[in-house]
Amino acid sequence: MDVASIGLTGGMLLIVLGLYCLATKRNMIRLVLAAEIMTNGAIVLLVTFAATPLGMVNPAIVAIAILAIGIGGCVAAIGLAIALQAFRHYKTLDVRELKRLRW
Amino acid sequence: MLPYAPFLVWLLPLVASALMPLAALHPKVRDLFPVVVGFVTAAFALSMIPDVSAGPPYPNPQISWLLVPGLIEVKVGVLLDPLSVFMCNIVAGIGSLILLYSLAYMAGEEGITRYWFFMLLFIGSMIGLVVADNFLWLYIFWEMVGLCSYALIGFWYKKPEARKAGVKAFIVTRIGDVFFLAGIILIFLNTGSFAFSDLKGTLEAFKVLPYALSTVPFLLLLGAIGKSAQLPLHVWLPDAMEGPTTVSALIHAATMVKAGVYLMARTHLIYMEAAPEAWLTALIWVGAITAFLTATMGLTAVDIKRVLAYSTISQIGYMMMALGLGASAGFVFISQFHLMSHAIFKALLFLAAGVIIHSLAGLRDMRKMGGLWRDAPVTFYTMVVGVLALGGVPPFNGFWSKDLIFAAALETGNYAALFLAVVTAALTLAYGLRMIYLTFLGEKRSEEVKKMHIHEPWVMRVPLLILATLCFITGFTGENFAGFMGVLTHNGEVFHVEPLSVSLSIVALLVGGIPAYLVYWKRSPPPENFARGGWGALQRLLSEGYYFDKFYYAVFVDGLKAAVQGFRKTHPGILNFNISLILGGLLLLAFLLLMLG
Repeated sequence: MDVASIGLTGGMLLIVLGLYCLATKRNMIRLVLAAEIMTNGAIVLLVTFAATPLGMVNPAIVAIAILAIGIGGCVAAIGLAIALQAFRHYKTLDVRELKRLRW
Repeated sequence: MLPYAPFLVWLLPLVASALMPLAALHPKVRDLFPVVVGFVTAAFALSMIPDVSAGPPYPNPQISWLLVPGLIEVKVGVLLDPLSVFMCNIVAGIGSLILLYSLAYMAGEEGITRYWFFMLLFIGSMIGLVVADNFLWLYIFWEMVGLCSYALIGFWYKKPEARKAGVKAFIVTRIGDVFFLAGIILIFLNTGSFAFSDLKGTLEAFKVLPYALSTVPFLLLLGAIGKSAQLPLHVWLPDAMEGPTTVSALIHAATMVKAGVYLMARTHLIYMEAAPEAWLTALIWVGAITAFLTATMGLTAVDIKRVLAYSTISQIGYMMMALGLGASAGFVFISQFHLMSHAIFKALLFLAAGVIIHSLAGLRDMRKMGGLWRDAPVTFYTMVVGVLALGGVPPFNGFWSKDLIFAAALETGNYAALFLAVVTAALTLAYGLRMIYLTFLGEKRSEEVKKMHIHEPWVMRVPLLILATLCFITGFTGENFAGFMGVLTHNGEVFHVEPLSVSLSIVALLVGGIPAYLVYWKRSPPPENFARGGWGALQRLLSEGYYFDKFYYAVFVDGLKAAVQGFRKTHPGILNFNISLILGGLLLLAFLLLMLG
């Protein structure tokens, strides 16, 4: 198995894992983590595609990946902050209880 | 022409509108600056007349725009031909008079800087619209005037009706604009160019997509129907009367609603003899039916501005009809001649109504007015001139231009459309006289009007008097105007007084004028009689505007809301469920791609 296949399989696995978690879990903190896992899967795919057959890595794409990691951190922070505020307000982390936020 | 006039004439108001916040630092400068800009623009517009009256070739300076080397090159510029210079002068001339009038009308309003900004932006983009030499720029400016119209209708945004009317105008015209855009895209796909001049030479090239040659003018017609408030998209214009009266006069009577007529005239000039027969017939019937139906609606409206709005739609119907009567430059001239008459007398009528509305603190219901002629004599006499011109009474300009339309319909043998047009002329005089009587004559019919003080400052009187004089003069300029538009007149082919059409006009005046005189002046039968029985049912039908508005609300507003409520049930708000559906959708998509790809 070459490096590219490992990268692609790993990235896809992470995304599927995140989707599975989003589709089955009810705890808000788990959902935030699931979204983070999916983001990381996407970044893995991006970096894998950045590699050229000659073994070089396109630096521009690496820069984008680093930026994406930073943004992912911010998203996680905001997601957890929302979860915290929601817990303070509703005294639960179960997303099914938050249905009233629906439009 | 003045140096760089073709560009400065529209860039100047646009730049000036951007400078409004700076000018607003000083209240005097804020109010005088836009008026001065308006008159300078008018001077630029006037200075371009000699350059085009000599005949072709017309000045057409161009620059390169949107350049992708080897792939796309869009050349844009301004085209000065009689049609564009004429429209330019209408916009700049009437616009400057209305800006002057606004000094008194809008004095002390909250948000006056916003008002001046949008008025200048409107004048700039409207002139840009008419001098653009390609469909792309025309479309951009077309949307810009739509934006200004929306913002100015909703100028008093604290009134809920004004907000709603603005949104309604925006959305309804957007329906037409979508088709217009589709037409422009079809043109570009087929000819690779947006320019009118290129299009003229490449009409045969309309072969890439089948039927493009005959579809494009219909799509453009739908755009014009939206903008010019023709049936069935006329419902926004009466509601647009919620805006300030100056805005109604400039945008919803004299200029912006004429953009549709301008577009049709432009298309007409491009196609000429190649114009599809069905398109011309559609123009005739859209125009004639609109003219007739909206004139009947005008008969029962009680809001003075709504009467004028219906009459605007009706008169634009005449212009559309004139364009459809035949495929040559002569018919463009006839419709533009009526456009000029209408721009002048309708601006006059709106400004005169504005004096009354301004003095009565926004009261627009004619049933409460009456007996105002002593308080505002200049307004009364100028408004009478306006109504006579609107009704087509000789010697005012409306008579001459309407007569040309009748003559053209007679000559081309469109007797059914001619009949509708003549009936409309009768109705026009009838509702005009009704409006005069209800507003100015008889007794003052309500307490609030009795205790109001009417005043007409000179800054309002001057534009009224100028426009009233023009109503009288421009009727006699038909010959010169035909020459200016490049239509031959010496052999009497286009401009001549046909005894038959004149007698038709006179008959229409008598048929419309005598009943109005009997009902309102002599009160035999009194107008109240028409509120009962069969007449009452007719009156309700007319004052509801044939239920167009109710129907649209039931289907497109309430119907859409109900559909959305039904659709909303598929959103349970359970995150897991939603994500599972997204997963399923993705899987389905991937499966389809694998199977089909």
